[in-house]
Amino acid sequence: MMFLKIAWLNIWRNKRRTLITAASIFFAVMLAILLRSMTDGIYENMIHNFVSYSSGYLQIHQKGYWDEQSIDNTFEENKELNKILLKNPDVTHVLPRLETFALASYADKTKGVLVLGIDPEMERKVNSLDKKVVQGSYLESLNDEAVLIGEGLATQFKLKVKDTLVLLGRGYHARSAAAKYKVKGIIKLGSPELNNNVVYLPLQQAQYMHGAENRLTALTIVPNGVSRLDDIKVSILKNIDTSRYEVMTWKEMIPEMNQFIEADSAGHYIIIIILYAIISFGLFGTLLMMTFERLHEFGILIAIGMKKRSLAYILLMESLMISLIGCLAGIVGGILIVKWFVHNPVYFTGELKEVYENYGIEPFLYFSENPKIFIVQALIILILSGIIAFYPVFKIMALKPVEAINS
Amino acid sequence: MIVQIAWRNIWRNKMRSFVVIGSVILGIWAGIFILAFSWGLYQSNIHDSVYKQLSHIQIHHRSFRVENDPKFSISGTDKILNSLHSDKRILFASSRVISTGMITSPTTASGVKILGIDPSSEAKQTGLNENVINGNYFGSGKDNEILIGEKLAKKLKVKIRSKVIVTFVNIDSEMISAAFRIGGIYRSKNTSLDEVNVFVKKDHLRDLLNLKPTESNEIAILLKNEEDLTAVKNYSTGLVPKGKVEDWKELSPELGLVIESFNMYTYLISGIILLALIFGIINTMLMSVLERIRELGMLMSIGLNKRKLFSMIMLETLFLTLIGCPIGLLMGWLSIEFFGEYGIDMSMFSEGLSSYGFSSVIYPALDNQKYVIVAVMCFITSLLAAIYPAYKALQLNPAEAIRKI
Repeated sequence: MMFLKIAWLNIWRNKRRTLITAASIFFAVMLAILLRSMTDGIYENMIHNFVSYSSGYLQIHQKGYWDEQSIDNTFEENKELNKILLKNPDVTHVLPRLETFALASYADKTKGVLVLGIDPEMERKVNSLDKKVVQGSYLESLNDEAVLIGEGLATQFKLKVKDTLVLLGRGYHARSAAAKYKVKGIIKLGSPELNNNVVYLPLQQAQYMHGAENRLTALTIVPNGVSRLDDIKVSILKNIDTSRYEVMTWKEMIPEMNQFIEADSAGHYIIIIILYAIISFGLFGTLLMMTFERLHEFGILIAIGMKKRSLAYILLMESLMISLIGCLAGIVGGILIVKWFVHNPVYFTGELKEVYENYGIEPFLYFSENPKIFIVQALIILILSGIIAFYPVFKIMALKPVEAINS
Repeated sequence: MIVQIAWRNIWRNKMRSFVVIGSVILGIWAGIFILAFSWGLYQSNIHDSVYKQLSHIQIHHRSFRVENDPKFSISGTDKILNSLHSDKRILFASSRVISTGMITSPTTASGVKILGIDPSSEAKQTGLNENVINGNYFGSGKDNEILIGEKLAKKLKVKIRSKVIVTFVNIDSEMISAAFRIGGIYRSKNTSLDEVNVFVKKDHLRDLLNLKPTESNEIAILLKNEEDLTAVKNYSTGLVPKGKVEDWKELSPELGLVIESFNMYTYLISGIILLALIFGIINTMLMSVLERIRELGMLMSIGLNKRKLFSMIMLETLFLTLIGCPIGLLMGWLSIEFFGEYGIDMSMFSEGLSSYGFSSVIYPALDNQKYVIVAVMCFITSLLAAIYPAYKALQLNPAEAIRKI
């Protein structure tokens, strides 16, 4: 305990030195957070753009639907289930979906499309789907006899707002599903895959067309955060009848996206390792100078009878305290700087802006606010500085007091 | 004289000097390595897309890529291919017939892009035969053989030798349904395309579509040398005046997105690394100045004026940087030569890489000009980093400074 106190007093004896060391840790933590937040941000943005407008982050289906995605594996819409799901504190909204594949025809052209039966009001509230409309207007109600189609699809069909689209598919229990709808709006979505293939239809119209009244292929569960999806999934599974329903995260539903991100982020590992190397070197330099500067003091302490071991222990404590101060400050600084970038986004210009806009992705630098980043990065730097703090310890163990005093 | 003092100063405390030199070396090495690594990654992405999927150049009918309708075809493709093959700059060229439609199995249906290919040419063009994981690559010799992706096979719940129905519209806008038997299942670099692309024999699809025997929808050209891209593009435009000739950049805007963002993030990341370098050097130099307060105070009291003191500290940093620069450059160059030869195996960082089919070994590469840029940037960075400590030294009051330990 006394050593702790000595260490604490020691670090404030020379404020300048402490501040410099703490500052180097502070900057290290902040830069690591900034880099990680930026690289993770790209992916979160990518996932958000794709997942929100297709499957959603979490979905609940009739058990067995995912393995055999047929309209026969649908389940009846039921208020009980919605209530149970919404009771979960991590769930903010539940969106009903009826998702099928059909042939769409306009004039002499026919193409396979993804038909998404949605609740227009809910999609507007949760995903701001109405903001994606580039021509015409958004769907009005569950019963609106109209469709929204992807911009790419509209171009291929050379189709304009108010033209009529024919949909032809397979309905519930092998009924034939055929209907024609007026195109009410054209939407531009981030992912080219969706943009070229998607037709949004009000839910009740979709159910009517497929002869599947009140039936859904999926409920999309909107969580209040995207970092703890697996935990949310587990807590949902506890409350529902698992013999009837299955719950899946986007990683299970769109594994190739997850794989792509994993593959792509491999490069970032190398880069962040290099950053750690530079940071460690900077820390080492600071600590080295600090030790060097205090050799005289250490020599005197040992000469008047201080055990080397105790002195080393005190020094280790000092380094740890300084590191902690630096890390905490770094986390605060990191949060502030990331928050600043989130609220004052940096917009791209030139070619990159065009490329992003073509993809319907907002062209700004997106930063991730996942709390895990802040904690993990601070911990990594703390461990690094802990390892580096052994340098003064070794130096003391090998110290010759007479030489040190004379230096 | 200041130069001499500065030079001697840095050798008086070797350890401190080595830390600063070390930071500079590490900074330059890191800058070079990151740029080379990114370039290697980018090259390997392009290489995969060009050689396994797109080819360098594709020629279509003007309206084909917009309408996606097989009736927009290029006629006389055999002749065009012959003249392309006789050109020395071209490694290989082949033609395809393409339609979109729906594939149906007893369980379910899915939208597909049907590519009519000549199996032996396609093997040379994109190495499609190497991707077959199950069954044969058009081994039966029958016309109605189809090659589908693993992902699609799973979705349709079909196996080798299963029968599937493919429905599409021919050039006269009539609905055509044709039965095919699955001869092989493939898995390519890009699993999302595996769900969409199915391959059948070109002549068979051409008949089904009612196209004339020499008509094709797509001509793909692989070059021997990337540098000939523009020249061959112009040459092809001459051969097919009615067609639209596009290179891989125009064909795949996604690749453009990946490349553009990668470039930008590389700069941002280099910026962050340089910042880390600045802080490292500032701290070390600051410590070294503050540690020498007494000595600096002494110098000032015996008549070294502030300007000279400032330039002395700046000179010290300059020397340290000048020593670090060539070593850093050499180390960067050596490590790139080494990894460029043997590659960096990324599979330890990510399973996704190999399962996604990216080549998991990256070969970093860098052109000479970038070495200079990195060295200059690190040089400027470390000089900038020295300004604050040097300025701090100016604030010393000699009388007080001498008394300090």
